[in-house]
This record gives sequence, C-alpha cells and structure tokens, in this order.
Amino acid sequence: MNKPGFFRLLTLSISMVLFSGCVMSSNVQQIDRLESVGENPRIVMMPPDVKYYLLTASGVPEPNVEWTTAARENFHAAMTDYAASIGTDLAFISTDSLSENEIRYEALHSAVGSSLLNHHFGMMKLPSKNGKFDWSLGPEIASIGENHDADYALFVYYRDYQASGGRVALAVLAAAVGAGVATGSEHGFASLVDLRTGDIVWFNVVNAGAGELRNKDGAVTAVRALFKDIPTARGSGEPQ
Amino acid sequence: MSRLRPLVLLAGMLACWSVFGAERETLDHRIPPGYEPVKEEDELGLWMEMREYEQALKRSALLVQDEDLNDYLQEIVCRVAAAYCKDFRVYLIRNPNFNASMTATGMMQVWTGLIVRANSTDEIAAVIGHEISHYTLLHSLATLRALKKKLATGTFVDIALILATGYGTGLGQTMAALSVMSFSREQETEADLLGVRLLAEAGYDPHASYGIWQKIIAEEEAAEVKREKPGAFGKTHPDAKLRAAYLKELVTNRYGPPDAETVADQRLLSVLNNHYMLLMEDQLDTNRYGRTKELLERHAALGVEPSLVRYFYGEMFRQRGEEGDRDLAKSAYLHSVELGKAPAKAYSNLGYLYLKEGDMDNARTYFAKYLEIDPDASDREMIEFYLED
Amino acid sequence: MIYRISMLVALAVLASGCVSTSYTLVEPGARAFEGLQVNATGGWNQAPPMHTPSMRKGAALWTHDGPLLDQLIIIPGVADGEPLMKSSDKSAAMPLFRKDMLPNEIEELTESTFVKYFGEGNAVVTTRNLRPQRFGEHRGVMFDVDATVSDNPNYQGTAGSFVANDKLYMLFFLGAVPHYYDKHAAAATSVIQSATLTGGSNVPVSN
Repeated sequence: MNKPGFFRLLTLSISMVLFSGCVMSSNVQQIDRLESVGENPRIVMMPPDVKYYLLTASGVPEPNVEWTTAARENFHAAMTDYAASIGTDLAFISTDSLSENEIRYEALHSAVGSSLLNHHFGMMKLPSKNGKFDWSLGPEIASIGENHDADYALFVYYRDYQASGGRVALAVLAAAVGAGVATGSEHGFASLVDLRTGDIVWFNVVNAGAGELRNKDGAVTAVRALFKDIPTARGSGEPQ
Repeated sequence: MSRLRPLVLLAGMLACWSVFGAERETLDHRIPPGYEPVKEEDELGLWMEMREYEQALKRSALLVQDEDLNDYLQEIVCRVAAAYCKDFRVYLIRNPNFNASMTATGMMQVWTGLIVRANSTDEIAAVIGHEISHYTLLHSLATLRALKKKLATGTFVDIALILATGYGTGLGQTMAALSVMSFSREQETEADLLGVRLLAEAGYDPHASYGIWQKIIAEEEAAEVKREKPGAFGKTHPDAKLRAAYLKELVTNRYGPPDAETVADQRLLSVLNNHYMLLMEDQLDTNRYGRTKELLERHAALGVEPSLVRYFYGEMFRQRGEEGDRDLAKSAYLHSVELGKAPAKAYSNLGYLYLKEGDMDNARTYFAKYLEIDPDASDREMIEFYLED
Repeated sequence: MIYRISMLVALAVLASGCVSTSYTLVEPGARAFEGLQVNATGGWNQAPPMHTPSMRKGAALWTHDGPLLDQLIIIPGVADGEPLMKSSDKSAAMPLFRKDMLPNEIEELTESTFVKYFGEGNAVVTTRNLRPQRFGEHRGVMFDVDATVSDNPNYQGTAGSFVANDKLYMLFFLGAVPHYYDKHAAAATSVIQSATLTGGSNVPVSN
C-alpha cells in the first residue's frame, strides 16, 4: 500500500481537529455586504462536498447513497430558496462540468480550509498573523468569475456520520470500561470567496445540531446554520 | 530452509486442490455483463463511494495519460474480459511498485511498476484476468461484509483512521481504507482459477499465470538480500510460492507443458522502448538497487533497446555508489553512448563522473556534447559553469 | 504500522484536552542553525517539533500561511552517510548524502528524499534549472522543483544547497499552486540566498 508520508499525516491530523472539539470560534466575517458591478451580485456554487455515512458497530463507516443523495438534493433545493430569499443570484456548477482550472482551485481550497481550521480556529496559531484572517485563493481565480459571470464563489463541505443502534450500544459498553468510541457526528464548513481578489470574505464552521439534511425542513435549518450571517446584497444574513 | 516447508507446501496444495476439485468445473462468473447493484443498501453505498473515488482518480496528476500506453492496456483488458469488456475502466497510475487492483464498480488500476516487471503481454494479461475475476466473482462486496464482522470489536484507532479518510475527495484516503480489505485466501484462489480460464480463452499463454509470480518471488529474494521492504502486491497477495506451484500444476495438467521456445513479445518491447524513461525513472527514485538490478537484467534479456538499458545501469551504479560502482557506471554510460541511442543525460552524467576523477578534458568533452544534443537543457547554466572553469 | 502508531499518538495528544502546540514567530534578521546562518525576512513562523517528525535535529520548518500552503525547510550539517530527513521506517530506504556529491547528485538526492517525504506512490517530484550559486564563500547550487502530491494542490519550489567541510547544507522552499508559491517565492529565495556559514572555514569548497 502507498506509505503515507509526513504530508498525509499532517492533512489527517488537521482533520482530527474537527473531531476533537478543539475548534473554538466558528465564524469569520470580513465583509457585510456583497458587491457587484452588475445589478445583482452573482454567486457560483462549487459542487458541494456533502456525504452521509452510517457508522456501524464495527467502526467501518458505510457511505449511504440514499441519505447522501437525499441530502444533496435537499441541500440544492434549500440553497436555491435561501439564496433567493436573501436576494442573491446563485448558479450551481456540477461535478461533471468542472474545468481543469476549477479543479485546481478546489484542491487549493481544501488546503486553505484545512489550514484555516488548524491555524485560525484551532490551537496551532501562526504568531505572524496576529489573529488576522487573511487567507486567500489568490487573484487569478478571477478567471472562474469570468467564465461563470460571477462575483463570488461558495464552497461547502459537510460530513454526517449517523450512529447505528449497534454503534450506540458499543459506545455505552466502551464508556463503561473507560474507552472512547465515537458515536457519530456531523460537521461542515462553508466559505465565500471574492472572485476578483480570491480573498475568503466569509467562513463558517458548523458542528453538531446544525440540522438534518436528509429531510426537507431539516435541510432548510442546516442551510441557515451553515450560512448564518453570510453577506448579502442587502447586508448580512436575514432572509425575508 | 525448514524441513517442514515442502510438507506445508504440499498440504497447502492439497487443500487448494480440494477447492479446485469441487469448483473447477463449476467456477464461473457470478454476475452478468453490465451488472449494476440493485437491492442491498451497503452495496449501493459502496458503489457511490467508488464512483466518487473514480472521479477523483481521473483528475489525479499521477494518472498516466499517454494514449499509446492506455491503448495497450485497454486492448488487453477487452480481450481478457470478453463479454464484460464494457464493464471496466482501466487507469494507469505512476507508481513504481508492482500492483493492480479492482473495485466493485469495475474500476481497475494498473501501476507502472507492473509494466516494467512483465516479461510478456501474457503476464500482464494474467494479472488483469485475476483482477477481472475478483470483480465477476463479487469479492469486493463479500469482503466488506466480512470486514464488518471482523471489526465488531472496533478499536478507537481504526475508527479515527477511517473517519479521517472521509475528508476531501479521498483519492489516497479511500485506497487507504480499502487497503485494510485484502481478499481471503479462498477468494484469491478463486480469482486465480477463473483468471487462468479467462487467460486461455482469450488466446494468451496460461503459463504466464505463474510466470509472473515466479518473477515477483525472484525480485523479492533479490530485495531481501539488500533488506529492502516487501512490495505492495506481495503484501496483499500472500503465498506467492504456493500459488506459483499450484498454478503451474493446474495449467500444465489442463493445457500441457509450456512452449520450449519463447518468442519475443514485440508489442511489449515496443511499449517498453517508447516509454522506458518514464517507466524506469520512478523505479530509480525508490533507491532500491537490488530490485532495480533484477529488472534491468530482465529487460536486457528481453531485448529492450540496449542503449537505454545500459543508461539505466549507469544511473543505478552511479546512485548506488558502492565501492567500484563509479567505474561500473562510467563503462555503462560509455557503452550506452557507443550503442548510439543514449539519452542526453548519459553525456552529462559522464561529464560529472570525469569531473570527479579530475579528468577535465573528458569532462568538458562530454559536457559540450550534452549541450549539443540537448540545447534546451534546463541545467545549461550549471554545465556552462563547468565548461568555462 | 507506522501510520497507525502516528494516528494513535495524534489522537492521544488531542484526547488529552486541547493541547497547544505552538508555532513561534521568527524575528527578522540573522538566524543561526548549527553554524548555518540565514537572514530571515518578516512574517515567518517556525513549526514546533511535534509538527515536523521527519526533520533532523537542528533542522527547522518555517511558514507564513501554514505548511500545507507554504514551507521553507532549513537543513544544516548533514554528514557523510546521513539522510536529509528522518524516517522511523527502516525499510524506507532514504537516500544518503555522500561528501563527494556533485550538483547533479545533490539534485537527485533532494528529489528522491522529497518523494519519500510526501509518501512513495503519492507524489511525483521533478527538478529543473540547476544553476551555480554562491553562499558566502562557498560554491553551491540552486534549482527549481515541481511536486505533485495526491489529495493536495500542486506545489512549486526552489532549493539552495552547498557542501562545506564535508557537510551538506540545504534550504528548500515549497508553495502551493496557484498563488502561494508566487506569494512567498521572493522572500523565500532571499532567505535561501542569504545562507552562509558563520565562523569556521571560509575556504571555498573544491569539486
């Protein structure tokens, strides 16, 4: 098997930050309102990385297609409505139609997102930043804006591990002997990128209780939690 | 070498024979061509995950996009798969280790390390036939279910590892999770048996099915001497000696002895010659000289362009740097140059070797020749520095 | 095996409460690493040892935006027969420095080391533009690097290296593409080119 080098361990240990509950604050807001040259600020939604798993007693998370499909559909619907309600013009890009360039930016965004979680929200602060939030994807991302005629790009990542009955039982058993067993979790983050500068102008992390994407109402709640205080054309976040 | 070994081997073979005996006449594909999972939820989930993984794989920088190499593999896959040809997508990945794998969705990975280790297209076909069999015998799903049972005690570390692999578009990460799922011995035997049948039916040499195992064994032994680590395929496909033995027995009984003479495989030779630099560069980078030497000897015997093989001998000796290696490297490069098709780097590396010896005249000669052959060399500034010195 | 042990360690650390592993600010100006001296520009942070298990003793990792985005690795005093980076896996076959190495060999040593740093089979590392460079009184080389690592953005880099008193000194900068390499390349290159040996021998190394 491929032997993971130090780099891989770094990426994974950053993921661990999410699970350990060591994320302190959860939201960053750089701007209050969206701006656009045109009439209505247009946001392009990168293919949302949403996945649902069943966490069985054995510890093997099973990707659950029914839940994931439902979650993605509901997310899409809730997102469309939400965007309309806050007066934002939202365009969805599907995974199949990503260009080479867009794929590069997705990879870069994952790395930037991980770095954010670790160094801004997490404990491994970078003293030179002095608390400042200045992570960017760089101004050359403007080409994505041009291709989609958009002012901003929205990236979303969401994972939900649902504990099965067997899993919960195991957790109870494990707790009795002082061992730790994860009983499922959900978490996600969303970031809004200004396509003219590449700056992340808004970033939000959500943990447990955000809302259940598998049903329509739950998705609406989840979307609101995920996009709490997202800047709009009218000013931050309250939908009509 | 334990006395018991031959006995254990025999016992193992007899055990496998019993599998043969019962299954030989009946071992067949378990799913039809064009199969899609329908009912079981865990199967659907696995398919979805695999599809996403495949999307990520298509975008991987480690994917080899060369048309010639991909056509070569595709031809082999379709011939061996017969009616199932359309169920597979084959991806050639830049990895110097010997490996090939198959997922439940018909996504096959072949690593470049496999191509450099084959002596014939038949041997590549043998490995592909084995992987195809894992697919049509529905082993992936059975393994996932077995794994769930096996991990019922579930450790915290395992969970964390697997949870963590959910992050991002999991190319390496999903494979990491998959790596804990190697097939059972029975499944490996089944895949061997059906694989041989597919191989023969496609018109390939069934003796290649154990030929490739023998090569792997030889390479592992050469590596062992140097205390190099066991290969990926070896780890996930144990009992190489046992399998080479029973496959030889099976094939000889069913299809007769191997041909007395082997004809050079022109198609494979052409693939190796046209892509030798790409295929062997990564092998060199592994720093595992015992293995590299074994491969070069094989390629020389196979008839790969001698200029290229000599060049890589030069590279190998130069990088290994043991006592006497410098001279061996020098003669290898000189030989490569003599044979007429030496890559440009043969000249610059000769320049550096002469430089080390203090032979400035020869160093300059070869450096100058290097720049003549490759005027766009990216290290021109460095070479000119030595020429002006 | 090593993988699981590392995960266990990482987990144990995290499970013990929110353990702070601190990056420290690198003060601009002269910074020394076992006889190697560089001129640090502003804004670099030095990683704590827990974050850099592959680094030899005395080596350091600097970053502006986090190692996944940009990293400057400083490796002083590698002796004959030693590898550039550590690996607790004995079968990793890390390439070793030899004191008579010429520029082309140092380039290969670096390439091969970084493939293993990223994980064999996970990365393709290529080098180009090998060119002579002076480091104080010492003749050395610089070259450029491209690295493709699975599950990560691509990386572009620049390395500087020289041999003095039979020891290798290596400085290596990597930045994610797009944007992060460009953002920090000038600063990193300036740090690399400022490298020199303090005290000790000022005699230029002969090839």
